[in-house]
Amino acid sequence: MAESPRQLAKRLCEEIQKKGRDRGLLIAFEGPDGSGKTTQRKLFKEWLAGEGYDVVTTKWSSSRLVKPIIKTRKNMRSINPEEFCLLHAADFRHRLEHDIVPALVKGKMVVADRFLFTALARDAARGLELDWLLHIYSPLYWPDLVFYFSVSPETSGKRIAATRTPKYYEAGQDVTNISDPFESYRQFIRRVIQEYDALAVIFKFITIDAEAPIYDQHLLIRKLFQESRERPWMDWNEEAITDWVNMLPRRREVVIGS
Amino acid sequence: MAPNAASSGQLLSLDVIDGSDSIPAAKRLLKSRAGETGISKWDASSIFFEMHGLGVDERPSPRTLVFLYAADMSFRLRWEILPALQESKCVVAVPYIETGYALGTVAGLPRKWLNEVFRFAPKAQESYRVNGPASVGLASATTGFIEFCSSMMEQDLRPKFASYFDDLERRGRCRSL
Repeated sequence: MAESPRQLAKRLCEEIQKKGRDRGLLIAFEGPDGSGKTTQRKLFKEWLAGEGYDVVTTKWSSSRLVKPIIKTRKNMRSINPEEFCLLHAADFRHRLEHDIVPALVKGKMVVADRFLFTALARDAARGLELDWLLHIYSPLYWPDLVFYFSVSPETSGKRIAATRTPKYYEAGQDVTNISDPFESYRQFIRRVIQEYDALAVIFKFITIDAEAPIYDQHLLIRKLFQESRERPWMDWNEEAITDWVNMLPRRREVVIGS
Repeated sequence: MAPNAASSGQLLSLDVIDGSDSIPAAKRLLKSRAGETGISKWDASSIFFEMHGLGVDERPSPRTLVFLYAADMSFRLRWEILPALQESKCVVAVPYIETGYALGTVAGLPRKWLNEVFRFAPKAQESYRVNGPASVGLASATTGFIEFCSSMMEQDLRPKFASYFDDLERRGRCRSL
């Protein structure tokens, strides 16, 4: 008899667990704009690859299917917080199903430049309810590690202002109604950082002082990663794997890579 | 979170199997209504039209499609439905949230999750459905949401959607037009 989606999902989870410390990990780099997380993500990815890991990177709002839709609407400044949220949720779900979960099932390391928590922080800062956001983003594949790059709103603002004018949605001008993008950014990023700080406590992020020297941060991330290689598989990810198997029937013939 | 639809206007939901039926059926429904009327049609935001034009070979899953449907629904509420209700018009939303629920149900998504996704949408005062002619072939993906989903999921989903609406009608949750 053919294996049902639930049976397949269970088998996949068991096979992932059996891999022990050789299983792929999902490592999220989170933090406000200007926190330097992308620099750290790049350094970390290079180091991981040098250590022999097969690494996949996924960036926020980057799916080939939904990214162009979001980009057009952002340029037109035509979306409200709810549409902003739902479109990013679509992009996230698509990447989770097409890029992230398949890579993890094959034992690859997935380095996420922003993950769920970006949506939670930004959307909550736009006035949406955290409880609603968590519901609509479920079922989730929870990251094994979340590095949170903590900076003050002032530092974030200074770093952004040094290189460019914040974009309309980045500055939160859709919700602040402030015409000066720098002033809007200053106010909006404060809200975003408040949300991030609360999430860091709730979800036990590893907080990195993003105002420390770049290489010191990188060495710390390496050390924390090496210490966490024994991290056990989280059972609640089974729901996300089951959903993935159900949603994409053609992926049922999946073979776990070595 | 649900916007307040309370106004002197009236919101009618109309869920159709064939997208090409949308406007004729909405006009039939509005014929007997007095006063100013309006119609809000699927993909007013053109999300699906643009996505179809991208030619990306990766198919969205039902969950992703529900999010996109909800984003379009939110756009329609903000720009078409709620302003018309504020102006005391009788508005037909064709399709409305039940079509999103139908996709979720057909795909086996949890009802609780669907309730959360569509929590922002106010309930319609009256709900209707129209069955499509069974013998007609499936129209192009941009004709309607069911056609779009059928194209993405590579199967004719119209019978499954029709069963969902049959069930709704049996339970007195909508009427045939």
